[in-house]
Amino acid sequence: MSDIRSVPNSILELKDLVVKYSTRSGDLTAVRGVNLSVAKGETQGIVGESGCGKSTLAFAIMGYLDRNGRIDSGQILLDGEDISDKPESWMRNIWGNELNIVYQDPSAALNPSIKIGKQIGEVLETHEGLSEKQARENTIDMLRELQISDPEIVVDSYPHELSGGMRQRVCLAMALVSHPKLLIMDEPTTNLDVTVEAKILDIIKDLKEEFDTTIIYITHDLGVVYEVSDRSGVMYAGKFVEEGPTDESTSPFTPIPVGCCGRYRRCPRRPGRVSSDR
Amino acid sequence: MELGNLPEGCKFNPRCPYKQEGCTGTEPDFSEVTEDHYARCYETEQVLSQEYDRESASSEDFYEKDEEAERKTILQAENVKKYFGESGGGLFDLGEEDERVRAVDGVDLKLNEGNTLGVVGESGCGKSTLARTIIGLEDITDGQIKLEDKDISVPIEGRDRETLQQIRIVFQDPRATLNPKRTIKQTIMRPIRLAGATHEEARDKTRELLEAVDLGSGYMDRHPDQLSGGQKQRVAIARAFASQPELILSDEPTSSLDVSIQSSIINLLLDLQDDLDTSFLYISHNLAVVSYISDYMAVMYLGRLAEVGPTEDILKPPYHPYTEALLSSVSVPDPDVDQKRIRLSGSVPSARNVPSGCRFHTRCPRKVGEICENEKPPRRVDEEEEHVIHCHIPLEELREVEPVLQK
Repeated sequence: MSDIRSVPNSILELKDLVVKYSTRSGDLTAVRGVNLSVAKGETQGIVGESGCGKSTLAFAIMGYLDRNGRIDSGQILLDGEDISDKPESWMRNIWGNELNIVYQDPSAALNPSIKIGKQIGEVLETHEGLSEKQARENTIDMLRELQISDPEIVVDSYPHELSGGMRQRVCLAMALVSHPKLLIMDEPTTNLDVTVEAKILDIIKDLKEEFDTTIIYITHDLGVVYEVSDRSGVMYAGKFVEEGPTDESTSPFTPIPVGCCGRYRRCPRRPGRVSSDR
Repeated sequence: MELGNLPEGCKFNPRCPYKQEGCTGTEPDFSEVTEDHYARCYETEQVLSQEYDRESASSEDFYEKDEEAERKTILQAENVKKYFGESGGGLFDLGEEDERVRAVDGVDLKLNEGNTLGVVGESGCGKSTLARTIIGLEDITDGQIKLEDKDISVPIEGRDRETLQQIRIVFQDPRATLNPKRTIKQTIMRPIRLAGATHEEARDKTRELLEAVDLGSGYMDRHPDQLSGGQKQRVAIARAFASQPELILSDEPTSSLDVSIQSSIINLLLDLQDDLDTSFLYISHNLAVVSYISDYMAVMYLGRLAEVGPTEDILKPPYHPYTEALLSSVSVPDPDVDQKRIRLSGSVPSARNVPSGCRFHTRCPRKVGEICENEKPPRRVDEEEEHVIHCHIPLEELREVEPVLQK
């Protein structure tokens, strides 16, 4: 079944990954056997509607599944090492360091009572043993990298003092400052204005060149996937139904992404309309 | 799609327009469609033979220009202003030190019967406030709003029942607009009953409406918490149409929904509009959606209109520099399209302290000089009176600008 391409020396490889949630009415299989191979420096887009399992997949890779969720079978190889059955105490060493995630809502991801500089610097102090002063300097450099004006002032601000777009850039800075092997982005621009979104996407594109970061980019927006990713996969009901280089996938083959076409400007009212959410 | 109850065969088959008998057997494996591009689908040949006709949609299909002249004006707004907060001094002291928030500051709009006017702009540009003044949730500071020939510049308490029936609104968040204690039937029947129908008439009408929004009468006795987000929005739409309004305001009705549901909701709105000839004022920050559904578009910036005109004209030069930047920010999932890159610096200035002259001058990539800072931009009319741009740059120059999107 694993007939999707497999790249040698991939940073992330998923092998027949199955994720289940136990509920009162029995087990629910949210991810039904996913194979994926992401090469170093590549950006892999994952598109799909809500409930297709894309966020569950992200949480499974991160080891952040809820208590009722579990990896039922399959492997998650991060740089060759299987991390699917590692305990939390082990994962703690790679969280924020080798493996990182940026969420949709930056205001929920930042601690409202800690200054920006302290929150970002913590990663460096914990994992790289930098002094507080050094961490602060690196943080300021990173913020500048993300085109935040006056980073010296921003490090001493609290999250509520920043705009939504700024906050998301701070989250990106926090995720990138330790140069992770793999960065997962779960709809990082969905809540933002189009103008701000465009700018954040530019920054993501620039940074991935500069830091050679491997990114998994999750979104329901085909336009965004086309902007940022090298390859993309379409998920439906817990499985990939389509995978390929982005320029191919965005002239989508399966009828499924066509249903997501509402976002396309001037999308024709074509006869093959995907029926509603029932 | 319910994870606990997936269909046999291809999991997408119940919704797929290309479904054949074979699709319900076993789940398809990956096959290579083109080089290095894999898909799980049995109907590869059928799908590949479907040519994507992205061009055709932009042409005459949607526009019946000849008819426009005969359509009567439903909504007319003249110099509408809405300021929040207290003015600094007494009644006549509305001078420079005025610290009120100028959410809407002199907007003129016109909407014809059966047409859709899309209003776009970034957060905080006043587009929602504009909708709230039209429906009457906010009183207006200055100006006039007319529904056909009736002056409706009064808040909702001062409007007669007929006016209330004529204008309805669909909000962004369906969870917040449906009463959780009422069944769907009660929710939709209420406006019909208020219009004077008997209980039986109202119930039949409700059933019809639910069918029109693809829900079916099985939903009549459910409560809102038993519905998904998309289904709730369908109920909200059914309720909006229940009193047979002439004008429906939609304030970001799809922005909290999934994209696939967005498109089905939008198509639903368009179908209902076709059948009932209702006029729409559609507010969104999503240029893609607005340009898809609107006959006319208005681009707002900091409480003022930057540009207004037929959708086709808005999407091609001459552009207002702000429209140009917005178009350049939209993500387009088409590798064949060349998109010009314009990024605005900074964020929208506060509406409490608006920039002098042209309000866009602090971020405008095409700023010509001091005139932009000091003088209010002139109203420039392109061709047939319809397309208006507020900018200091002459139209001839704006016409020379390269299109943002090119094949």
